Amino acid sequence: MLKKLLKYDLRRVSPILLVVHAAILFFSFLSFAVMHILGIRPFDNIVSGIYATTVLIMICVVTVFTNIYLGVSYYRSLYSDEGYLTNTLPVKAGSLVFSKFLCGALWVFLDYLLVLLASVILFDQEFGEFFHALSQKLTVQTVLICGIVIITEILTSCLMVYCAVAIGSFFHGHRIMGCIGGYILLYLVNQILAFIVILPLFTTPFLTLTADNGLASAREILAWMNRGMGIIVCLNLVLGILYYLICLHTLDKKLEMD
Amino acid sequence: MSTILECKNLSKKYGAKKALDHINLKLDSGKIIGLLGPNGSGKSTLMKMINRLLTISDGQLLIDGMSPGPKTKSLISYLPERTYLDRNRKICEYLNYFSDFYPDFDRSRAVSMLTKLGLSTDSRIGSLSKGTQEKVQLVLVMSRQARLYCLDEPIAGVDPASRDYILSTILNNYDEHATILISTHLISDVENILDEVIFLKDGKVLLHDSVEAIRFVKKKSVDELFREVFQC
Repeated sequence: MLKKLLKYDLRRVSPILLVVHAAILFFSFLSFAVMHILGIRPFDNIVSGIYATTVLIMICVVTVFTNIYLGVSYYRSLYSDEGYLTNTLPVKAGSLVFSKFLCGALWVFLDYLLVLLASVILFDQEFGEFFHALSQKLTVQTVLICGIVIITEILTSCLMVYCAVAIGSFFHGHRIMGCIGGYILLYLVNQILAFIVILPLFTTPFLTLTADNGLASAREILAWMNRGMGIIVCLNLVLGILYYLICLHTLDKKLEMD
Repeated sequence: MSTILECKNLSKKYGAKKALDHINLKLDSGKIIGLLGPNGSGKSTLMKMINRLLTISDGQLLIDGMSPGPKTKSLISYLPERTYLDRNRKICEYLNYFSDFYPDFDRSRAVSMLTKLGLSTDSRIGSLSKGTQEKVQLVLVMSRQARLYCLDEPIAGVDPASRDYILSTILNNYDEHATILISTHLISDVENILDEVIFLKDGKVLLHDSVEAIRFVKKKSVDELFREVFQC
């Protein structure tokens, strides 16, 4: 049943998200083509600067839109009138939530990828120099941990949106406000917890060295970064599991369809 | 004759307000049962609890001896009082959807009923009138070979001709071994198809009896008895 649920969930959200991301890629390619023909770079002059800024803003808007759209789709499928069909399917609540999680995680991942691609197309030279510099400084371990951080961020961000919708479902008659309030609350909790768990890192010898005007080696900086990112990965995993359990519990044990 | 639905001291509370108050019911299979009552009597609440769309505050609810869950949902075909069809989807997408999730869904029967309605399966839901959307929803629900059909206000808000169509669709697709639970406040329209009636008021069961007994023992039609019991 999970495959079937995933099939319909992807069919539900993919058309609009494909169009939106295709549009962003199109504008990035267009910018690249126009600027290469004219022999100018982004921000060389006012016009190219305004154009590049507009595309960058559009890229940010697309990312925000993707998360909002996934949240709205989750709400409509489970808590609106369509929920009378979805919640009466002969499947477990866990399957419903997991299917939407897989669908959402896939699209958030694609969003990150396509947005990065659009940015690289627009700022091809700048990104080339940046990645070249990074490749000379970073170790394989750091790159791997960065990748894991990004993956856990993707999974957690998607679940945080769904969890906010689940929290909003308790506010009958004010569900949308409840969802927005729930998201703000979860975001604040996320940031506070991240600050608390990262704080001990600021008492490491690296910082003592810099305070004493000593020179910390690149390896020590990287090791410090790896520790920090490792802590963030653990926090993301814990929060992700918590958000998932809240979504599941709300749908399985606390469902109250109007 | 087996018991398809059993409620034991079933209650549903919203704060201090009781939507259902210690309901005790046993419904046998193979019957068409009317769940009758004025607005706010708890009919939709009971329907939703049967379909696990509301949580139980107190008591027990059993469908074919099981608590509400995925297995009981496979036995029940539910028509809510509202339209759950997505306006942007086509009828054929819903035929595929029901075929995918319900092994007992009879696609050919659904297509036949839709054809009689003059509807193409390529029609978009949003292009249909409200009454036609409700009919499409009814066709999907009645095309399943379920053990229990829960129809919540299937004829409210439609014209008299459509009501006749809906009731004839229910009767023509009715499996004699299945149970149909119809909630409505339009008694005179459904009286002739009912085997039993349940009168619900303020979340309590006032009466659960066969239509035959009401007519021959009480010497009244169900409509007359309803007006008597629920007079303002």
